[in-house]
Amino acid sequence: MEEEFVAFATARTGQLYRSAYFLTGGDTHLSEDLVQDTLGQMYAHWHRLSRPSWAGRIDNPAGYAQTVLVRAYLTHQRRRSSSERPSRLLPEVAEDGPDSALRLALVEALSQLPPRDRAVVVLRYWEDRSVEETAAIVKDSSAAVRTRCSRALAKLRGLLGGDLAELVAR
Amino acid sequence: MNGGTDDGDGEFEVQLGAAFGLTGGGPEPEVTARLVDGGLAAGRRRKRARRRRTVLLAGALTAAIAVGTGVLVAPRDLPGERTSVVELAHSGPDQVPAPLSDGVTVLLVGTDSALDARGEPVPEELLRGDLHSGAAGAAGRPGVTDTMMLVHIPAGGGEVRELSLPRDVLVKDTDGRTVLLNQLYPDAERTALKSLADDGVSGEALRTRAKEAGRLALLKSVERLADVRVDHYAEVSMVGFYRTAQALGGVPVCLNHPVDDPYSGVHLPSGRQELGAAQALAFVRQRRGLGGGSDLERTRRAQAFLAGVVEKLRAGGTLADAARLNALYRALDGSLVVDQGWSPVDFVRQVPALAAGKGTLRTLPVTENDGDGFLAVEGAARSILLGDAPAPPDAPASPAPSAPSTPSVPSATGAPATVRYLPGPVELGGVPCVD
Repeated sequence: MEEEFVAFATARTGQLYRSAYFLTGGDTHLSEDLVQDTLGQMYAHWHRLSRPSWAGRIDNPAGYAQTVLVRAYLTHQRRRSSSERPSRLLPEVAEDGPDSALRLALVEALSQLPPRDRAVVVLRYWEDRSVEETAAIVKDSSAAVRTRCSRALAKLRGLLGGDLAELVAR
Repeated sequence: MNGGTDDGDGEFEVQLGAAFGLTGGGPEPEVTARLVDGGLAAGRRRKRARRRRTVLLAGALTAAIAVGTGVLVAPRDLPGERTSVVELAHSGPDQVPAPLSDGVTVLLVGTDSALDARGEPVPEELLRGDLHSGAAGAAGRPGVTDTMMLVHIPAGGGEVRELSLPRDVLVKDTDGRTVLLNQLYPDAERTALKSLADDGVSGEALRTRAKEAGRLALLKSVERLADVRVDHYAEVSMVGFYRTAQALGGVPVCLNHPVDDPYSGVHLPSGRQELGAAQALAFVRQRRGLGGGSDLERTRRAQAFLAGVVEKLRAGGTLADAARLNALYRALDGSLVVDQGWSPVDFVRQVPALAAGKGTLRTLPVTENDGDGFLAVEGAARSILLGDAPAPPDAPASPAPSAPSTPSVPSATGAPATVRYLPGPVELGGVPCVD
C-alpha cells in the first residue's frame, strides 16, 4: 500500500506542483508546502481507495488530490488574508528555457488577481475543468464562478493583452 | 488597458490555455523526491495523530440514528470521545425514575456547535460551504441541542419506538429556573467553563469536563421530562452528521412539495430522492418555510431522515451483515460521542426490529405557553415510549392538560391548553413522504 502511494505521489507531484505554482502566483516556497500538505492528506486518506463505494470510496485519486490542493490553498489564503505577503517571490527555478519569458509574464499577471479569482482561472484554463466542476471545487455557485472568470479574464487581458499572443506564438 | 474588444474574448481564452500549457516547467527530479518524502512524512504524522486520538465509538445504528438527529460535534479527524454522563447521572442521591423492565432507552442529541469533539474549529470551507452554517457557527460558543430523540427498544428488541423532543419545550434547570430544552446543555457548559477555569482547570480537561456538565444537565432533565431512565447516550455534531451522511453515500427521502430555502441551503424537488451530505444536512435543519417556522415541524424532517437511513442500510443489507456494519462503523470513527461501556455495533445487532424495519417515530405533544416555548403534555412521553398507555388523541381539541403538575413546567394559566402540534407518526420500513 505504501509503494502504491509513493508511485502515485511521484507521478502526480509534477502536476500538483505546477498547479500550486500558478495558484500561488509563483510562490515556490508556498507551492512546495501546499504540495507536501496535499500529499500528506492523500496518504492519510489512502485507505479510502479500497473502501466500498457506499462508505466513501475515493474513485479518482488524481482528481481528488487536485481538489485537496486547491482547497488547501484557499484555506491558507483565508488564514493569511490579513497579512498577505507584500512581495511575491519570483521563481527561482531555471529560467533559461524558451518558455521562461512567457511563464514570467503569465505568473506576474496571475499574481495580480485576487486569490479566489486566480484559483478559478487556474482550474478553468490550466486544469481544463468545466464551470460546474470548478464551482464544486471552490464551493461557489456556477454563476459566481462565471462572474469571477470573466472579471479575471478582463484583468488578465488588460495586463497581458497582445503580449500573450506574441509570447505564445514564439 | 490594451487588447480588449469583445470579439477577442474567445481568442484570448485560447491563448491563455495555450500559455498555461507552454509554461509547464515542473520541479526538478530531486525536488519531486523531496516533496514525495515530505508528503509521506506529513501523512504518517497525520495518521499517527489520528490513531492516538481515535477511540472506538459508534456503531452503524447509532451513527445512522445520530445522522437523523442533525447533531453536530465532531469534525474530520475527530477522535472518538467517550462520555461518562450516564454513570454520573445515576450516581449520588438524586434519584431517577425506575428503569424500564428490560428495555433500553437511548438519548440521541444533535448540537450545532462549531467546535468538533476535540474542541477544534470546523474547517472554514465546511462552515461557509456545504454546512451553510454561516456566522452562527463561527464563534467558539457552546452549541445548542436542536435535535433530541429518545429511542426505546422494548425487551426482545422487536420494535423501535422513537420520541422526538421539540427543542423549545420548557424545562427546569438544576437551579429551578425555567429554560428552553435546547439551552440546558450550553448553559451548563458555560457555567462549568467559568467555574472550572476559576479552579485552574485548562486546556483539554477544561473543555471535556465542561461538556460533560452540559450533557449531564441535559440528560437528567430529559429523564425528568419524559419520566424514563436513559440507559445510553449518543451525540453528533453538525460536522459529524455531515461526514456520516457522506459515508452513507446518499440517503433516500421523499418530499410532498419542492423546497427552496436559502437559509438552510436546501433546494430540492418533490418526490423520492437520494440526498448527498450537504443536502441531507439542509434537509434536517430547514426551519423557515416549514409550518409556522417554529421548530415543531422540523422534527418530522429528522424522523423522515432517520427512516431513510434505516431504509438505506436495510435495503443494502448492511444491518444484517456484521462485516459491513463494522466497515461503516470504522468509517464513522470520530463522528460520534457515545457513553462509556456501550457498543453501538452490538446494540444494532441486538435489535432485529431495525433490520426488519419495524418501528414508529413520534413527536412529544406540546401545548402553547403564554411566553416563549411550549409546555409538554404530562405523561405523554412515557406512554408513547413505553407504549403502556394510549397515546394522546390526534384531534387537537380534546386533550386539555390544564394546570398540569408537569415536573418540568411552571403551572399554566387557567384556560385549558390545546395541543399545539401533533403530527402523525412516521413509520420505519420505508421512505415516508413529508412536507
